[in-house]
Formats: sequence, structure tokens, C-alpha cells
Amino acid sequence: MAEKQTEKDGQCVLPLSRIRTIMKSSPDVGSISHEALFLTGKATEMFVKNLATISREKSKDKMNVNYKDLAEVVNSDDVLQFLQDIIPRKIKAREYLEKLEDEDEDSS
Amino acid sequence: GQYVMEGGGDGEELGATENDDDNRGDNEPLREQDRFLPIANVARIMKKSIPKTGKIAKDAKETVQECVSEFISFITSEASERCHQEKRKTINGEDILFAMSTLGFDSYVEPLKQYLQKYRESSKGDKGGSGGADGTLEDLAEESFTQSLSTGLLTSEQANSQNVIYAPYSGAIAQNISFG
Repeated sequence: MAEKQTEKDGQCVLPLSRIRTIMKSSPDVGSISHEALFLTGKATEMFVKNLATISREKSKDKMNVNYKDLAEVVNSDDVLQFLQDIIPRKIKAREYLEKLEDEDEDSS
Repeated sequence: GQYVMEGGGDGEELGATENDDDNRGDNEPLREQDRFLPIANVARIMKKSIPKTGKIAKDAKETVQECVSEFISFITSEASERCHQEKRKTINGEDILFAMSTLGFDSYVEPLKQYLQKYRESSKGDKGGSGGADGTLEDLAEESFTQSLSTGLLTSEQANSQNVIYAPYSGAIAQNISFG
């Protein structure tokens, strides 16, 4: 890891005030300590990095991150089940159907 | 007795009090821009995980942006529940770590503890007396803490500006404690 990384380990690169806003939109949330806010921020950073990494690993395209790969990861990982509603399957199905139609046209 | 660290330092920075700068009622829906983290920040973090010449599709960025908000809410709900169960009003660091573990992000917990340590180290000089201002220390280290008090560790005045308290889970945490 780069040296700069350790300088930032005690800080969060995401806007904590926005994170707090999102946290407080959950029902029955009272106060949030500094540390809880910081940890949520760092956890979020880790989560984003992991998503990008895993989606590339599972994908044929190792260079880029595509929507499809994300949808695939989310739908195949138990821990990420809570995201299945966010990445709507219908788009995935529609793309698939469009692809089928294209293939049909090509072959006829 | 108990050494309570809540209250004092919380109001200084981000505010652990309710509705302090939200300026809106609880029943108002969040504005679109408030529901998500800025997409530029999200994209920047994603870029760190891909090769330099790699690209992130726009819809992928937007999707991750939404996932992030969902992730935060997911963790928060779980942490909040634990907090309520223990009859506390403030979600603390330990609640977050517990939620991560419960929800399947157990692999995050150790690195997060490391980050937390760095965070505490970097903030110890700023706040004067209130240290971490967080119930975590109280919850986990109360016994060793009060033992330290009784052996006079903390009465060495300002000569040692660092007082070391041993907490069970993460080794030494340096704390600035001052009285009055």
C-alpha cells in the first residue's frame, strides 16, 4: 500500500455530514457518536472498493466496472442480498431480451 | 464510579445531538441530493480498485452510489436496534462494529478497529479533555479504567501528557485526560 494511505487512515474521504444525514433518515435513530460516524465512513469506503474489486473479478472484463457485473455480484452473493432491490432485475432482463432480439435479427 | 464521556465534546465537531443542523422536520423526505453521497467521491474510491487505464461505466457509478446509501442505512438500522436494546440513545462505534459483524461484513471489523485507533490518535490533541467522547471506552474498558484511576495513574498531572489505558480489544489507546 502507498505511504499516503496511512496518513489517511485516521480520516475519511467521504463527507461525514452527508453520511450522518443518511444515517439519521433511518427510523428511530437518535444520536450518533463521532466514532460511529467515522467507522461508518470507513466501512463505506471499504464497501465501495470491495464492490469494484469483486465485480471485476467475476467479470470477463477485468479492466472496467460495468453495471451488469455489479448486478451479477449482488444477485449471487448472500451478504449483498440487501442490494437486490436496488439493482433491479428488470433492467437486466430487458437487456437480455434486447440481446436475444438482436441475435434473432442477425441470424435471419 | 462510572466515567461518563458523553455530552461534553460531542457538540464541537459533527454533533451527536439530534437535529442540530438538519433544520427540517423528521417527516420531511430527504432531498435527492441528500439521499446519496456525491458521485464524484464514490467514483474516486472505485477508481482506486481498478487499473489506471480502467473505466467505470456511468450507470455503474450511479448504481454504486445508491448501493452505498442502502449500505449505510442497513448498518445503521442494525446498530440502532442494538442501541435501543441496551437502552442507550447514542449509537457508538461498538454498535457499528457489531452491526458489521452481524450482517456478514465480519471481515471489515479488524481493519475498522485499526482505522479507529488511528482516528483516536489523530484526534487526541484537538479536544483537550474529552478524548473520544464516546461510550465505547466506557462499555469495554470500564473495569481496567477504574483500576487505573484507583492506582493513581491519572494523577501524574500534566507532566505526562499521555495517559495509557489498556482496553481489551485493541491494545493501548492513548488518552488525554484532564480534571477540571
